[in-house]
Amino acid sequence: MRHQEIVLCIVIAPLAVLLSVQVTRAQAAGSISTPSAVETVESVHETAFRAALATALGNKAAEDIAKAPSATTAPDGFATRIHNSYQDYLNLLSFAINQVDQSTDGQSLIIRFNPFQSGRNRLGITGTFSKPTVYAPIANAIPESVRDSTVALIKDQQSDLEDATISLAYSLDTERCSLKGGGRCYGRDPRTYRNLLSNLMLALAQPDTSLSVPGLSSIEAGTWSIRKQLDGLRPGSCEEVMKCPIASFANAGLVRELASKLGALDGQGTALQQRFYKAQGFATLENLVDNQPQLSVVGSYHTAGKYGGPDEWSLGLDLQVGSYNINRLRRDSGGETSNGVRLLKSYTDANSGMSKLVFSVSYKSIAAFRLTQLDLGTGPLTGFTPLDQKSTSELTAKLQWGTKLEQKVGGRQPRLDVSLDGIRALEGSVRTTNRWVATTTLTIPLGDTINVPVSIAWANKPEFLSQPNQRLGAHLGLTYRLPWEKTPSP
Amino acid sequence: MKTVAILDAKPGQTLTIKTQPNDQILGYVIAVDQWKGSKSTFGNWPGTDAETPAGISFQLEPADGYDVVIKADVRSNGSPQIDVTLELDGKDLWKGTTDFSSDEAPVVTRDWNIFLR
Repeated sequence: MRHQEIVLCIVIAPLAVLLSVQVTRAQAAGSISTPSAVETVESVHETAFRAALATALGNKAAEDIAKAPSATTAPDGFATRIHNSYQDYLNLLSFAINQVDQSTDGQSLIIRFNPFQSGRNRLGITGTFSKPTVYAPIANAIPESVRDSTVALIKDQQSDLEDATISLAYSLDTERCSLKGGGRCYGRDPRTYRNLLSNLMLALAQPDTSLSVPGLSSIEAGTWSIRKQLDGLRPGSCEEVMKCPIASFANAGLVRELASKLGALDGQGTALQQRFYKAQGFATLENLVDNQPQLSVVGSYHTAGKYGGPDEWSLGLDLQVGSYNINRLRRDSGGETSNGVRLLKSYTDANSGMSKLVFSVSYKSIAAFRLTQLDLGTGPLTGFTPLDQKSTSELTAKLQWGTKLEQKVGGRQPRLDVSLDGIRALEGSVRTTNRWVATTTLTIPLGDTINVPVSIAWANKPEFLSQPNQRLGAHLGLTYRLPWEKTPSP
Repeated sequence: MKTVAILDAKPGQTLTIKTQPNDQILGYVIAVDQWKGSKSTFGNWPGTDAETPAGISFQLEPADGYDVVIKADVRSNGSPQIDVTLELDGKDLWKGTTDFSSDEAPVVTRDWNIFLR
């Protein structure tokens, strides 16, 4: 009989392991990161804008915001080469092809066909051609003295199209979702909700509402006045004021000062609006879209060619939904935009009950791979170690659900999370892994910066309950064997 | 709010605003203010995929100028962008891609000023 132990773990993480850390991007004031060749009205404006915004938001650390240029490696030319080689054939299929992309590393060409859409049902097909590689076990089976030259010979014999993957993706995706109307909307494509969300924003753009940004009108008057001055000073050699070099103006000093003042006012206005729209709950819109029910099933088949490795296929199902989403907004608002705007704020204030469910299950099968000899046209290679790999398969499942609790502790809400992780793997007909772990975690806030997770974990085998490594802090654990469990024999 | 461009036009010309958002833009509004002594709201339009291909057009009435404002609800991280074209009597007045910095989220505002001469 398997022993199942319930482990009560009290995990304490000193050094405030769950400190809230603000990470901000740094951007150099003006053009420090990339030395600007010409100082323009725009560049002076940008510097003042960023500084004023950072100050107004109280984020002093972000006053220097730099976009550091990063060194890049030139992408592989494989994808470009086969794209160009087969461009004529792709053009013939242009009626069916939605998009042709090259991966950033240049090693794959991805062809996305026009999705089939019927009501909420969407089926997408994608073909990917990757740069063929030599399966590592094959390379390792070649005698070391001739390995490099033999691998090069294999690569010469591999064709461009032999490493191919075809994927079919089915998803529930509503084409257009409106605030009114019955039924549920599915999917998270912003285009589905753009009409709905744009009309919600329009309610705030109307001038006669009581929802106006306090203090903004005086800033707008100030910016208008400065913009008018700049427009009046525009040199004849320059068409667009913001792009004009400062040096091209007759009074460069005045223009620089005006550009800086304009940037500062724009920064202050931006900070005002950010606080206003956050208070109105507009930051919630992103979460409402992300919490929309999403159901997708993806199947794929990959063949790597004779020397690229075993064929493999996979099938996966993914279901995600959050309790506060666009469907809930549609229902609670009764289809009225004004109600929708008001509800956004209440959804932000609610915080509690923003639970989310994630369920995914996937199955992957890798075919057996046998290569008894390696013959590249000059006879079997002497010293080659035959390969005989069994087929493998793997089933993984994951379930996660989490929510904030209404009861506050020290002004903050505790969180309850439940998770189930499982993996079952076979090699041939032999089961190599069968691991299932369920965990319930209650995270209790202590003060502003420390959280104490208390978790109960269950596993189908005791050895799967080792504590996870943590970089910061130590944790204590207590195990308690239930009274009805038998004492293991020595 | 951030000044993108300061432009010139003449009364009576037709201004057309065309927009094409990327998928980091959740919803947006195109607002036009008219400055004639003091600001007045000239019009507000929701930015939708259905309308923007044809654009929003109107004739410039005599005034000091106009302020074209795009307010976009953006994701908190990502690269939200809108391709914007302003046309005067069918010819390009301004064309470009406006980066909406996600650190200004949730609603980012960009302004194009058009002074009438």
